[in-house]
Amino acid sequence: MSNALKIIEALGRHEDEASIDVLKDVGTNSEKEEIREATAQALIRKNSGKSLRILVADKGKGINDLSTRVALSTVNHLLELEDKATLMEVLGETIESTNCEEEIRNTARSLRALITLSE
Amino acid sequence: MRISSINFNVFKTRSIANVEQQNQNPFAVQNNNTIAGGLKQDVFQNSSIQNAQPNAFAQKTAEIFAGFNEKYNNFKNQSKEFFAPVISFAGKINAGIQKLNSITVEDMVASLKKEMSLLTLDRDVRKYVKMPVSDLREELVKELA
Repeated sequence: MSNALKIIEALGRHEDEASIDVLKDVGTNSEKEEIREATAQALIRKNSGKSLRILVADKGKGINDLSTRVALSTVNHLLELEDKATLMEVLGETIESTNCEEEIRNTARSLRALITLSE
Repeated sequence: MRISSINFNVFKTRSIANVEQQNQNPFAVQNNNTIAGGLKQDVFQNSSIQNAQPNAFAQKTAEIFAGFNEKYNNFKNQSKEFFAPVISFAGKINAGIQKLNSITVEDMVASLKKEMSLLTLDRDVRKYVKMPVSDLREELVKELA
C-alpha cells in the first residue's frame, strides 16, 4: 500500500471534520484510479451528509465522474453501509434539487431504487 | 545543670570540710562556713542564678523558641518545596478521577472499540490517524505530486 493510500485511509478514519475537505480537494482530483477509489471509500466511511453529498451530488467528484469499475465499487460500498439513513436523505435532496444536473439526479434516483430493492 | 546537684556538691565539698576544720557547729546560723552559710556563699552568691538578670530565663526561653521557630519555618518552607510535586501529582490524579467519573460506560466501550479497530490497521495508518489534518493534507499533496 502506497503512502498516499495510507494517508487517505487515515483521513477516512480521522475525527476532524476537516479531513473531508482534504479528501474532496486532493483525493477526488487525482488522475489515478486507485486514489479516486480509496477517496470514495474514505468518504463513505465518514457516512456524514457532507461526505456523502460529495459522492452523490458534486459534479466532477462523485459517482458520475468515476470510471465504471470504480463507480461500481463505490456503489457496492454504499450498499454495504449499515446505517443508510444519511445516505437516503442525501439521495432525496439530490433528486429533488433543481441545482443538480439531470444526469446526477438520475444516478441518485437509480441508486435509491437499488438500495430500496436490496433492503 | 540542675540546682539540686549544685546544692549537693557544695554541701559535701565545701561546707562539711570547713565545719570539720574549724570544729564548729555545722548547723550554726549566719556563719559562712556552716552548711547554710556555705550554701548561701557558694551557691546563691556566686552562682549564675544569683548574677543573672531577672529576665534571663525569659530571654533564654525566647532565644530557644526563636531558634525553634526559625527551624520550624525553614522546615515548613522546605517541606512545601519538597512536597510540591507530590501535591501537584495528587491534584492531577484527582482531576483524572473526576474525569473518569464523568465518563459513561458507553463512552468507554466506544473508545475501546475505536482503539481496537485501530490496532488492526497498518502501523503507518495508525500514525496518520493521530496526525493533524493540516499535516496530512501536506503529506498527501507531496505524495501525489
